[in-house]
Amino acid sequence: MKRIKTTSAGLFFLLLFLATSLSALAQEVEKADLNLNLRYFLKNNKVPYLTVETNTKVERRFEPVQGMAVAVYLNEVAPENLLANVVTKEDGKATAVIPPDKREVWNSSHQHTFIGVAEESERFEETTSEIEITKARLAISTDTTDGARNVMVLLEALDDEGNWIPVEEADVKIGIQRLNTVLPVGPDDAYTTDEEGVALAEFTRDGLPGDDNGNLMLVATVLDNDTYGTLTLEEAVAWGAIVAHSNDFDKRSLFATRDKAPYWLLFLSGFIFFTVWGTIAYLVYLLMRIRKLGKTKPATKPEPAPVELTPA
Amino acid sequence: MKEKDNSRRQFLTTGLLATLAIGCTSEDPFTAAVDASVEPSGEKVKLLSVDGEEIEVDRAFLKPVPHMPSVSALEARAGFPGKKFVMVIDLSRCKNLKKCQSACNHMHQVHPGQGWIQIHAMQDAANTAPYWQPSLCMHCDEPPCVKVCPVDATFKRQDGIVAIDSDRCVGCRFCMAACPYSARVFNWEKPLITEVQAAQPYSCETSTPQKIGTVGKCDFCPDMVRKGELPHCVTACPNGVFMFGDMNEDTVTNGPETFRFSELIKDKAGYRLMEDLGTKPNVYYLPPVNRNFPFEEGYNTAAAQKGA
Amino acid sequence: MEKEIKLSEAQITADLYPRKFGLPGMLWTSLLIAICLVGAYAYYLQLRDGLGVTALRDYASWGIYISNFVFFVAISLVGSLITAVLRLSNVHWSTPLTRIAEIIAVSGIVFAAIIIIVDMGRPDRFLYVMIHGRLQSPIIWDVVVISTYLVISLLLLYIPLLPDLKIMLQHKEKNIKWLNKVYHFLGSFWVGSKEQFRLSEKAINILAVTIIPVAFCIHTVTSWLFATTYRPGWDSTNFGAYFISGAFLVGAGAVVVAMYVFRKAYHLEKYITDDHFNKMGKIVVLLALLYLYFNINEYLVPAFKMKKFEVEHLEGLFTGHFAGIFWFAIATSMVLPILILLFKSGRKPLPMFIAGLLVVVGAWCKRFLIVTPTMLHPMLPMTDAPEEFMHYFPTWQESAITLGSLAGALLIVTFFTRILPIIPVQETIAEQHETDKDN
Repeated sequence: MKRIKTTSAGLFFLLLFLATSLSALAQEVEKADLNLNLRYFLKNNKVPYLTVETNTKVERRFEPVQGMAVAVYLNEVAPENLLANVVTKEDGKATAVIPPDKREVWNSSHQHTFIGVAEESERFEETTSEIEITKARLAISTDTTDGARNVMVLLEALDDEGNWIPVEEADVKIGIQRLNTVLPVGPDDAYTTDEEGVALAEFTRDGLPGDDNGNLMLVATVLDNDTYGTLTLEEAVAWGAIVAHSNDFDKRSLFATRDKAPYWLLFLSGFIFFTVWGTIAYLVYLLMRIRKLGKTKPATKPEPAPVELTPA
Repeated sequence: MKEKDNSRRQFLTTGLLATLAIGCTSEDPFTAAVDASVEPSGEKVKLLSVDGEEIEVDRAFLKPVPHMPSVSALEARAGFPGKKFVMVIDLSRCKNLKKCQSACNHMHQVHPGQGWIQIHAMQDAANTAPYWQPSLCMHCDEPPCVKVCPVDATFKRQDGIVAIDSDRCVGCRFCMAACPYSARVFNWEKPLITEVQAAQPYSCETSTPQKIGTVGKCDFCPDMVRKGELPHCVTACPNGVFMFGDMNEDTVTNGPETFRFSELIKDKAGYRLMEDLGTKPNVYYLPPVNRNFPFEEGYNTAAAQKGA
Repeated sequence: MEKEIKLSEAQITADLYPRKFGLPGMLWTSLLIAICLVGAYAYYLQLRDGLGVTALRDYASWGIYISNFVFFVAISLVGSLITAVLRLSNVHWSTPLTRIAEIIAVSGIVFAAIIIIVDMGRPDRFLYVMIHGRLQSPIIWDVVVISTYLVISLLLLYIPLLPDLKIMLQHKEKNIKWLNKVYHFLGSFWVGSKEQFRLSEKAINILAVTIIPVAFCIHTVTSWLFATTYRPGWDSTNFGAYFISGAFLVGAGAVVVAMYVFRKAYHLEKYITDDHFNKMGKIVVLLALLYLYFNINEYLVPAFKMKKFEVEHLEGLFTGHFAGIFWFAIATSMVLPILILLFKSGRKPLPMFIAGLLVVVGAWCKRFLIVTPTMLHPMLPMTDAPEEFMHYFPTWQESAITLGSLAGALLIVTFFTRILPIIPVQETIAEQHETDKDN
């Protein structure tokens, strides 16, 4: 058994060695492909920012690339147009914002191009990626007619003359913000805007637990739109249920922590413990008395002469 | 129809314009959106708003889902206030791909051969249908393992998670004997991790670094929740078998799909394992009906994985 | 009948005085020490490399360490049986056996504690059990109750020893030099006055009453380590009584074996008489029948129902993988001893000795059967685990440590006989006086 183990371990290391040396050879010949993705986000019609994502295919699946330096430019690759130099984190992602000194360029047009450039590195060739974004905005309104709760979301985009024009045929997700996810307000996941730029959804999640005041956070999302990027808008609405969540966390129980032992257990075990150890203490006291008797009155009874030992 | 048109007209003229007007003022755009559990990082960034105004924003909010702050070991023992995590496992979608298991093992430094997730080939009786059943820690509300732990090394948090403190565990393995779901594994040997990994302080939210002579098991990945992400098994599963969420929000998600928990359980007749034991698990199963894959395919995928 | 042979005080003292080991004694002791040393080395390996050196894995996460622990706890119960139960029921013939029973109890309980530390994955954190102890856990109950039982057993060993210590101090020249100081420290205050006898008598009576519930606790709580779980074979309301009856049986068996060995080794035929064997034989038979009764309860009732979770477990015991050892244990720990001891000719020293050995060996196997088969029949299938996880057979390190602990317990008993009288001298003299008076 042991021999087989060592042999297989040896084989494993041999293969590992071969694999690493082969891959080292391969790298010299040809560098891997880097996927560079830029995404544009606009949160609550206010703050635009970009995320940079890098990944590469390793053994048939994509793995994030950490520590990749990416320069993000606005409209064209030139030093004066540099928005940010970012380095990707563990998950292969980094965030860039539009710095205040780019105000003039930013305000000059309703449409901009973001260009990401990943420098050539040991593993990868130089890679570029760009997205074109048109400025857009969302609005949410809610009403209740005949007991039906409706959510209406308006999507508008800026045209080159500075007018807000409704966007038709765009998918808008309408949901409620939950822990790390958004629950659709109704049976459908996404709704399409009509000729007036409005997506209409009916809220069918009656009784859904809200916050302490019964508020739910509605979220309208245009997700990864080719023209507008990802837009999200949140709006609180008092459609949630106020639910008191019971929690046994602080209660005394058998599965609570040591300071939360049930009273019956404390009393029962305490009673047994002190009864028994009280008895033991009394026994020790008796022993002490026996000891004292021997120490104080050695002469009351003369010691009998040692018995002669005769072998059996 | 006409009425609906009318109401929409009315809504467009009043509601939307009003909200747009509010939306374009220069007040902090995030006050409404900020979750109480999200703390600012303290690092402010000056940037341009979409209207070309200069504003200052905390870096923590420049993300689709903001980070929650990491916590001290003591706070980690208490868990997230006001949350109660739950998982739903849809048996009709599982074909024994074991992606959940490998992702989980990798992220938690589980010893080779062991696993915090097991995919059992189940068949309740000779004439009943076989199915694949992923099983992990059930995070019971009355956890038998926690009852028997002599040193509070495994404990129940207020968010329902049963976690392990590997710095406390004495390795008596009573919890393993007590768990009816065989969810717990033991570090019989020195964990196969680098010295750098081993030198990290232990966190009961990541359950790493693994330590010799202590017990390990599924922790529901509260560290991923803090990062605004889902547990590793949930994201690793290509078939969306695992759904995770907060029972207090009545929502579970596997990433692409999000369901209302109570509706899902009601519509698909969800159940929990070994209900008769009274452990009150927080992992629910959806029965293997209208399956996406025939059961036998699970053996093929398992064989293919072994071959690869 | 042998009691009618009159023995002088001097004769009794000389007969029962601890003696130097002869050659067999030296060989025996060396053998035990050697086994202990191998066990200690194996434990060093386990400390260095972790519990991975054992055959324990995720399914069979408890193995022979826990079996051995239960065995030690069981065998230690005999102290309360022989000393307390018989004393309180006014049985006098058991006097010469009390100290044998008590020293078996003390060494058993000491090694029960040691083996449970051996079983810990992190023995370096042993103190956490005190610092972070959690009252809800049956392990903490076990820790408390075992230390209590140890203290009571030590007292029950010590207080009746006081008069004998005095006798020891009267023959300093016969003793191992440095031990005289120990005897002096332990017993120099005993002068044998009436008041002292009265107080010690009182203390022993209180002890005899106290030790019975504590002894019941220690083994009941040990059974709860299993019975508080949901597993097939353990999930039983019968477990406490079942464990206690088994414990009394193995303890009595161990006393019979010890009686025979001491009688042979020290030529104590006048003190441990055939009558003693006869009476102990009746006790063992009674206890074996009682244990058989509980076994039938424990296996027949679930086997009648054959609940889903129990089926595999019971079939494994009756006809499957564990059938050999299961029927061996049933035969050796119950059926054969009953068959031997039901007959008067079976209650002679040699057949008794064999029956006692059978009981002890069978009892150890029984403890193995209580732990391992259940662990290997979890309630969900064993899936995705390496082949070695599906079975359990102890490694040499594990076996060496277990054997070492058994040898260690025997070593305590052996050394005890070297330094103190294994049969109470003073009490034997006193009883001799009483029989003299009666005649």
